[in-house]
Amino acid sequence: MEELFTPTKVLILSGALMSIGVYGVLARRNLIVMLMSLEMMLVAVNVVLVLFSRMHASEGMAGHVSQHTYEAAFLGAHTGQIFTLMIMTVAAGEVGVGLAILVALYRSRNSIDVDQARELRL
Amino acid sequence: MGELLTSFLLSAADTAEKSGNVCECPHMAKLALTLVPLLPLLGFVINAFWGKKLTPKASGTLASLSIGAAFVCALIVTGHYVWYANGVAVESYNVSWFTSQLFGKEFDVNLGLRFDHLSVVMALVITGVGTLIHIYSVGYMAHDKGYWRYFAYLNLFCFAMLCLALGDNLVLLFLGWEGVGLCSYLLIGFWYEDEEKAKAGKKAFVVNRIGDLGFLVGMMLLAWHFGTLDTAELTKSAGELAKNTAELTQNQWVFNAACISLFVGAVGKSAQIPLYVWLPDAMAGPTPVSALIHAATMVTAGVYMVCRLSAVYALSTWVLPAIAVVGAATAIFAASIGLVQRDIKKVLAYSTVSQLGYMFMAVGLGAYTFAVFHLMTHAFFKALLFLGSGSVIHSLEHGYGHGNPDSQDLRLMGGLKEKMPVTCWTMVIGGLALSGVPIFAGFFSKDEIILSAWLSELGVGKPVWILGIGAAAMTAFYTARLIALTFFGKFRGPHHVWEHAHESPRTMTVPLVILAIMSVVGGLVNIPHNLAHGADNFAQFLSGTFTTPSFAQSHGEHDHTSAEWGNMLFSVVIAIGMFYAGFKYYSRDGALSRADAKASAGLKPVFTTLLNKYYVDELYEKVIVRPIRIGAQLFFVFIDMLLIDLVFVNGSAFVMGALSHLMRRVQTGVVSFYLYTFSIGAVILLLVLLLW
Repeated sequence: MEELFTPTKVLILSGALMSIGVYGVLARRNLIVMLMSLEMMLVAVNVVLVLFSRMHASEGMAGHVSQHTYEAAFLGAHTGQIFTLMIMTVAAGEVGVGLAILVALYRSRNSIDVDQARELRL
Repeated sequence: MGELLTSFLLSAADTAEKSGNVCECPHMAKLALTLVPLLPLLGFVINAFWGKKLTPKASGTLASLSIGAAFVCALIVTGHYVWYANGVAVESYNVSWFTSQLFGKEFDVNLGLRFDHLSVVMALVITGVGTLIHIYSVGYMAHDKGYWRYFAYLNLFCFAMLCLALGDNLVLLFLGWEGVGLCSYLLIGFWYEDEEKAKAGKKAFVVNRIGDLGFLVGMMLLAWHFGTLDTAELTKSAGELAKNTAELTQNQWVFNAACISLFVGAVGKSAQIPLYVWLPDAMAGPTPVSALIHAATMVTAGVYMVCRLSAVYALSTWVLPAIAVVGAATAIFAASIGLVQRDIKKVLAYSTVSQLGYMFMAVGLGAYTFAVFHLMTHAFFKALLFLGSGSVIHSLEHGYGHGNPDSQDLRLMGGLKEKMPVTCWTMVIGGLALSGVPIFAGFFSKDEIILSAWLSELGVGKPVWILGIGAAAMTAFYTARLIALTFFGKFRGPHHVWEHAHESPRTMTVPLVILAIMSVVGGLVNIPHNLAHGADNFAQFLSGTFTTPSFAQSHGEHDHTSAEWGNMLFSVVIAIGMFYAGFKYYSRDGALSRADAKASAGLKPVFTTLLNKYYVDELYEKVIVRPIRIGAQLFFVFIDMLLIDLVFVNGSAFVMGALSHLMRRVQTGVVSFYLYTFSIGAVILLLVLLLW
């Protein structure tokens, strides 16, 4: 049976998400949209991490019994997935802070257009 | 303080026992020896930190007591050494100072004191004469507001001088050497409000630095070649080396270079040609300081150092004759300047330079014993003369006001015999001793030096003898002139000064009397062969200490009695004759105006040259000081102001400022611009990583 998610397909998905994210961050001036685009980039990374973790899991399990692969067998194979969880947590925190800044920005200048907030310069 | 001292001593004792370095001598002798330099240090600490709260009398008493106690300790050690130690040097508790590597070998330096024949003389002179001068100072400085500072410095000086004289290695000796230089500087510029005096202190310091550099170079050469700076070990290795002719000739240059470098140090400290110029200016300090530092002790440090290293000097070839020539030249040069000086202290200062020349003359001729003998007698009679002149100045200052230079001017003195009989007669004794009149101390020591020159097998022996005799004649003359102008004839100063002049207090006259007694009996410790055979106790006492250079070794094998008698009679006739002539001439009324009239006639060029000290100061000013000043000015303007300040400091700040002015344009404040540059950068980095 042909697999639904071949590595190629998943990488294309991830690349698409990353590109949309980068475009959104660079081209849009609305801070909310920029934050969302940022999240998309993180998701792209997460997807790749999960993919690679899964691809290498079999290697780790079959692994040669040496000090090196011993670690991989128990931890290494899942590192990518654990890392993904970590990134999601941090991303949640980041969004919280980002939204708080956004609210503060809106309160102070009635706008969330980043091109208008350019006081940070000489 | 006491606790600190005790714990220090205990730890010192502990270290000594642990290292297994316990010598035979009992703890009492060791303790006494350790206390000799530490007691003045204790006095210094107390006076320096709490002296301001003490009364002048308490401060002075404390200082005198600490040095007096050091004298007692020195006597105890001497007694032990002379009667019980059988010639084995007494060593103090030994503490390691620092350890390092020198050319792959261990190089240890200890804080240890060693007490041998030479130290007996030095320690007793320093603490003995030092005590008398401290006591004298209590009277002399009673009205000075800086009394506690004065006594603190004086005690610190004694500590440094004792380190110099008792230290068992050259590093400790050098510590003392620099310490006495510092105290000399501090005490010359004691009345620092007077710019002239502060400048005199600075001059002494700078001139001494030149010598100190030579000393350091010599010390490093010795450390390099011998691998140790312990004086006893140096003497031992040098003695072994003297037998090894091949190695000696191969390394001849090292010994010559080391010896001449060390002698440069001695020239600076002991005021010989060409570095003597600081000593006459050093008379700006209080008079007891001139007596202690610039006559009795510090200036003899150079002589002591060469004597201490006699074994090393025996390895050199031309250095000792050179020292003899420098000494003899200095003796006659300074004596001739002393003939016409008008300041009572300046006369004595040049006399000191001249007498130090005699000591170096003896050292250079290999007659170390007589150099040390003259060092000792000179300490007595020159300290006496200085203290006497201080007594005169002190008395005249009541009329002239404190610090008035008129109170030191011989032209404004005269007839003071009536007012201050004790000062007068003690100074007469000191003067006779300085002139070398028989019975008095100076006669015995100076006569031996002149005789050594006559008997020397060196080529320079006879010229040195002639210079020595000439200097002796001048010495007798200027001493008689000084005494006649001060105490005899009629008083030439203002009337109210005469009214106020009076004999000095007991604290000042008692040291004078003691020193006068020493100036008489001090010479009797070494009566020459021809007068009493075998009575040259002092020479016998010291004879084992020094390594006699090869050219002087045959000395004493032949019978020199006739030469001794001839020399003695000759120098006695000259001393008494010149003293009588000088005294007769200058004790008559109007002698000075007649001398001036005569000088303005035929002898004018000679007279003015002498009065201006051969224009040496002016020459140094033109040839050395001014070029250095101009060079310093050039460096200041071009190197410091232009290169460092303008180019380096302000220049680099300007460049950075200009750069940041350019760079800050990047900070637009537009977030999307930052993001663009960020992503472009990321892309470039990725490309680099992929394609490289």
